[in-house]
Amino acid sequence: MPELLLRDEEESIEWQTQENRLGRIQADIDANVMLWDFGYVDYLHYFSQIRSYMHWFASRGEYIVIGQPFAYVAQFIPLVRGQEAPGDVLYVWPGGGEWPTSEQVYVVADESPYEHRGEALILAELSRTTSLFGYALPRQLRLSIEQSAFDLLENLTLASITQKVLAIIASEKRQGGPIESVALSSFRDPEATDYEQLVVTVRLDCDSGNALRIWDDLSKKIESLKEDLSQREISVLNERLGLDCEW
Amino acid sequence: MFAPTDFCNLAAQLSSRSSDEASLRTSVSRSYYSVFLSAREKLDALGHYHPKGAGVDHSRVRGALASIGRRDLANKILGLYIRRGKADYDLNISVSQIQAQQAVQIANNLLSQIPSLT
Repeated sequence: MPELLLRDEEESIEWQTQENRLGRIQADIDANVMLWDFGYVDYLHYFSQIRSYMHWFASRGEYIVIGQPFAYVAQFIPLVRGQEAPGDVLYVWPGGGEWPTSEQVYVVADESPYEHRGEALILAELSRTTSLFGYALPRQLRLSIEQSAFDLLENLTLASITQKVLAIIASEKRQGGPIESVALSSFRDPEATDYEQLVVTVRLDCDSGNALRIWDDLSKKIESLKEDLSQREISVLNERLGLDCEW
Repeated sequence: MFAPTDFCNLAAQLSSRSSDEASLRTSVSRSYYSVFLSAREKLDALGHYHPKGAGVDHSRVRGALASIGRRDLANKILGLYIRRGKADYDLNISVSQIQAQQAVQIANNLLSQIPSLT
């Protein structure tokens, strides 16, 4: 992982997940920029911790949260070339698993033409999949996650599989699929109250014929995940994760 | 023996009654059961799943389909099951004619494939 330009009064928090992945938050107090680099599953799993940190910094009055992972870039306060940013800013985005495409990136600049308090924003590459240049990447999917789904995603196996499923859906969208949004929710069986599963609901902007075809395509791509899963993971995929489509 | 597909025929008739929400809710419910019962019987005949005659059959039919590689059918049946649950139990939503007609479309799509399961 490339080095971020660090200043004094740095705070760094590291931890390991059950699957031995490292996540790291770095707070560069002097530059007033907080950088996060998470994949979908890390974000899903540590959402509550991330949220508490964001609120803490916002409450100190030093940061204004202008964007969160999975938020519309259009909601961001635009930074005008050469002009000072309005207040302190907090950038948060997922590391994702794919290179951003030109359609997804608003600004690409090696020299960070934007300024904050008279200083150029820190430009750093955090991972092989994410380029930081002062803007959060537009999310590939309009993703909403119900609180009940987070409880299910405490199961890291299910969270890992969910990440793969979201990547499949994101790929479909990048290839022009009429995917409007995705929602993760928990579904409790009304006929068997002890049964609960995670449902990925894809909202499509198309007619019924195409919707049914896309539903099948996504299901078959999810089915192909089995080739690289253990028996236990396959069992979780079969019993605890479902794909619904709406149009 | 009663043919579950007859439920789908009834669902189609009921879905044409745009002003009667009771009919539209019943349509969604019958769409689901036409598929669930057809799939249950087919899986039982093939030896892939033997029904318990209880509520667990709903999830286990889907699980059995997924385990034989027919996740496409399992997911669409789940989608119908979710819609049926809302139509049967959630009094705080409205079920539209479009939703009922979509449920019929999903059911017809599934019913055309279930007979060829192996």
